[in-house]
Amino acid sequence: MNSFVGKFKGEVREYCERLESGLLLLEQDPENEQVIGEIFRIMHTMKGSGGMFGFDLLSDVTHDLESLFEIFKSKRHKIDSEVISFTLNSLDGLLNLMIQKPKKEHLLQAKKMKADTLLQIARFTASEISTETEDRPTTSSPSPVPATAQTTWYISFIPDEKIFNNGTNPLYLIDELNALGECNVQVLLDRLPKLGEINPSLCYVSWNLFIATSEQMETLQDVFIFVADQAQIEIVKVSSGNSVRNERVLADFLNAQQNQEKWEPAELEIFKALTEPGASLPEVSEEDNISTKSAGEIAKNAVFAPATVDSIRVDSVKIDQYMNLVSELITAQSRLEQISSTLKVPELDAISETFGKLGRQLRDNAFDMSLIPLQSIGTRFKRLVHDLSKSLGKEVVLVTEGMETELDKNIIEKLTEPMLHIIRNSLDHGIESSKIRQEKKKELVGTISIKAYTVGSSVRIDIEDDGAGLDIEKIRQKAIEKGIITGQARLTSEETALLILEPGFSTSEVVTDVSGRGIGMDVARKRIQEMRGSIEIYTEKDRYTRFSIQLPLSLSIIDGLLVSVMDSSFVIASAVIKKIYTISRSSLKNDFRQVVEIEGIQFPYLNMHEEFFGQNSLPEEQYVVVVGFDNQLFGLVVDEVIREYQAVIKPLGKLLKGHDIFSGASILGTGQLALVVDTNKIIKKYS
Amino acid sequence: MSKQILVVDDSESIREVLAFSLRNEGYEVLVAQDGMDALQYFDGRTIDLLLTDYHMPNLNGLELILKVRSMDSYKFIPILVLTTENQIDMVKEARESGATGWLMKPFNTQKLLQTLHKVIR
Repeated sequence: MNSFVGKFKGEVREYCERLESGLLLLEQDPENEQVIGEIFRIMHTMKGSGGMFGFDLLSDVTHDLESLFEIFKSKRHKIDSEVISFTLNSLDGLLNLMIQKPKKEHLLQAKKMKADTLLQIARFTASEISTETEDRPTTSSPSPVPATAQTTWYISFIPDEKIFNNGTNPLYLIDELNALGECNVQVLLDRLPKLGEINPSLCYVSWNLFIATSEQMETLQDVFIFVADQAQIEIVKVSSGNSVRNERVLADFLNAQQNQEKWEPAELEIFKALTEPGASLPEVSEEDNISTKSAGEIAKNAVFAPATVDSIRVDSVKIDQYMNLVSELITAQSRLEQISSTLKVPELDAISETFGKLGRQLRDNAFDMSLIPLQSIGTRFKRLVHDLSKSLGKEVVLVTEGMETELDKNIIEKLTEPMLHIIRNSLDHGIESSKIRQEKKKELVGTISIKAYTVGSSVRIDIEDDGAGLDIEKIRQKAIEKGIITGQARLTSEETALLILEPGFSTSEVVTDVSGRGIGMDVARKRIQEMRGSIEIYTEKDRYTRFSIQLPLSLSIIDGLLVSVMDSSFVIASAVIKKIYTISRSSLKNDFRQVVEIEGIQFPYLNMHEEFFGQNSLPEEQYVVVVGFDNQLFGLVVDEVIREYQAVIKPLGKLLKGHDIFSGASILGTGQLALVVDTNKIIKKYS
Repeated sequence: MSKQILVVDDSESIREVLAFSLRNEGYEVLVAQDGMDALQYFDGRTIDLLLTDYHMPNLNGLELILKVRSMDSYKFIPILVLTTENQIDMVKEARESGATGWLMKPFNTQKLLQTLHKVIR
C-alpha cells in the first residue's frame, strides 16, 4: 500500500503543476472551457483519490475547490482574476495538507482554506451557499432489531426486459441474496413469449423469493441498488424469525398479496407449532398461481438469461484435465490395438479399429479446443512497444503478421514472457535513436515485426528489428572474457550471436532499466526449450536482428511413426517424415562422410543402430526414414518401421535432460517406453 | 480461466491499487489510462468487466461506455463507473449511458469486491 501512497503523492504534485499552468492560461483566456473542464477534472480526481489513500484533509479542501469551479464549468458565472489568484494560492496549501495523520495546525489550516473557499463560492452564488459544502446529514440510525434475530422477507423482483442492455446479470443479484440468508426462490416465466418470438437480448424472467436473514431491509434494498431504475422491486416483511420453509405462512402471505390485502408481519410464536422442519411449499404456491419451477426449468431460464450462447467459457483447468484424459484414453487404445493384433479375433479387431478412429477424432477435437491464436497476446506486445518506445524516446512501430496462427494455450502462456523480453531487448539495444538513424540514413521510425507461421508440426515466430544489428566481434570478445568460449573457438556469426543467450552474458555495459528487468535472455531461451522449442538469431550489422523461435504446435500429443532399433522403440513425428526407403547395409557401409544418395538426391544420415548400439548385430537391411526441415533432408536409419502411432508425450526426467536429441517419451500399449526423436535437433547436430 | 477486468483510470495510483487488489483476488487485470487507451483492448478478447473512471482526458468514462455498448461483442458486458460521493447526477447519467453500476470512492477491498460481485462472479 505504501508504494501506492508514494505514487499518489507524486501524482498530486503533478496535478498541482498542471492546475498551476491551467490557471495561468485562464488568466489570459478566462473563458477557455477546455481549461476549466480540465481543472475541474483534476480537482475531482484529487478529491477522489485523496480519500482513497487516507489524505482526508486534502480531499476535503479539494472538494470545496471543485465546488467553486463547478460554478464556472456550468457557466453560471464567469471566472475572475480574484478566483484565479485565490486558487493558485490554495495549491501550495494543498501540498501542505498531503499528510495522513494531520496535526492541529493542519486541521486549522484546512478549516481556514475551506472557509476562504466558501467565501469565494458565496461571492458568486450570493444568496445561498452551496448545500454540498455543508456537513452531510448523518444517515438514519439503524433500526433496533438485534443483529442476530432473523426476519423473513418477501421480495418480488421484476426486471425490465431491457435490463441486459446495461450489462446486468440478474442472476448475480439472486445469488447475492442467497448469500445473505436462506432463500426460497421462485422463477416466474409468465412474460416468456412463444419460442419463435423470443429475443435473446431481452429478459423475460422475474423472481419471487422469500429470504430469512438477520440483515436490515436497507441491505436487501442495496442488493438492487444498480437496477432500482430498471426493475420493479417490492420488499415486504413476512414474519419475524425464519419461515421460508413454513408453507402455511408463505401461503397466507401470497394469498394476501394476490388479493391485495395488507399483510401484517406474522410473529414467529404464532406459527411455531405449525413449523415443520423440511416442509416444502410447492402445492401452495401453485394454488396461488405462482409456479414453483423444477430444477430443470430453472436451468432453462438460466439459459435464456445470458444474451448469447454460441460459445461457452470453460475453465482452462478443465481443458487440461480433458486433454489429460484424452491422452490416457489414447494410451489405453494403443494397448487395445496391441492386444487385438496378437489375439487376431475379427470382432475385437473391428472394435479396436473403430475405437482407434474415434480416439483420433477425439484427440483432434481436444487438440483444437486447446489451441488459441497468438493474437491473444498480441496486444501486450503492442502495448509494450508503445510504452517502452515512449519512455526510451525512440519512435518505433510494431508490425505483426500471422497473429491468427494457433498454438497450444499452455505454450502461448509460457511464450509471453520470453517474447516480451526479446522485444524489450530489440527496443532497448536494437533500434537506434532517431538521431543515429538519421546519421545512418535509415528510416527515422524503427520497425519491430512479429511474424508467425506454421512449418510442419511446428510454429515459427520471427521477431525482427531493423536496428543496429548485433556486433558479432564485440559478442565474441565478451564471450571470451566471460569464459563462455575459448579464444580458439571458431564460430560462425550465427553461432556467435547465439552466445548472447548464454547465462551470464550481457553485452550492454550498463544494464538499463528496460532490458535489465524481467527474465534474462538465457531464461528466455530456457523457457522456449522447455516447450521443446528452439531459438535462433540472425543478424546483419546496421540492418536487422531476427530472433527466430520455433515451437511445437502442442505439447502433449503427436502423430508419429513407431520405429525400432534393436529392441528399443522410438517415435518420429509424422509431420516431418517425407519418405521411407529400405536400404541395404552395403550401400551405407563405405560412406565415411555419412551421406547417402537415394533417387539421385544426396543427404546426410544418422544410423541410429550404430549410434546407440555400435556395430553389434547390425541388420543386413535397414530403413531410412527421410525427414525434412527447412528444405533440408536428413535420413534416420532404423532397423524396423513398425506402424503409425499416436504418441502421448511425457517429459523426460531430469536425468535424461542432457540427451537433447529426444524431446520426450511415450508409453506404448505394451507398457514399454518409446523415446520421441527430436528431428530438428538431430538435423542440427549431425548434418 | 480467471475473469479479466479492464481498469481505466487516469490516475496511476488508483489504477495500481485496483489492479493490485483485483489481482490479489485472482482476477486478471488489464489497465488503461483513458478511454482512448482502453479501446485497444476491445479487439475481440474477452473482457468480463469494465471498471472505468468518469473524468478522463481524451475519451471520458461516458464516451467510453457509449462506444463499448455500441460494439456487438461487448454490448452486454458489465460496466462499473468510479464515482465520488455526492454525484447522484453523474450516477444517473452513467446509468443512462449504459453503465451497470457504480463504485463510490473512497472504497476498501471489501467494498470493491462486494460491488464487483453484483455484476460478475
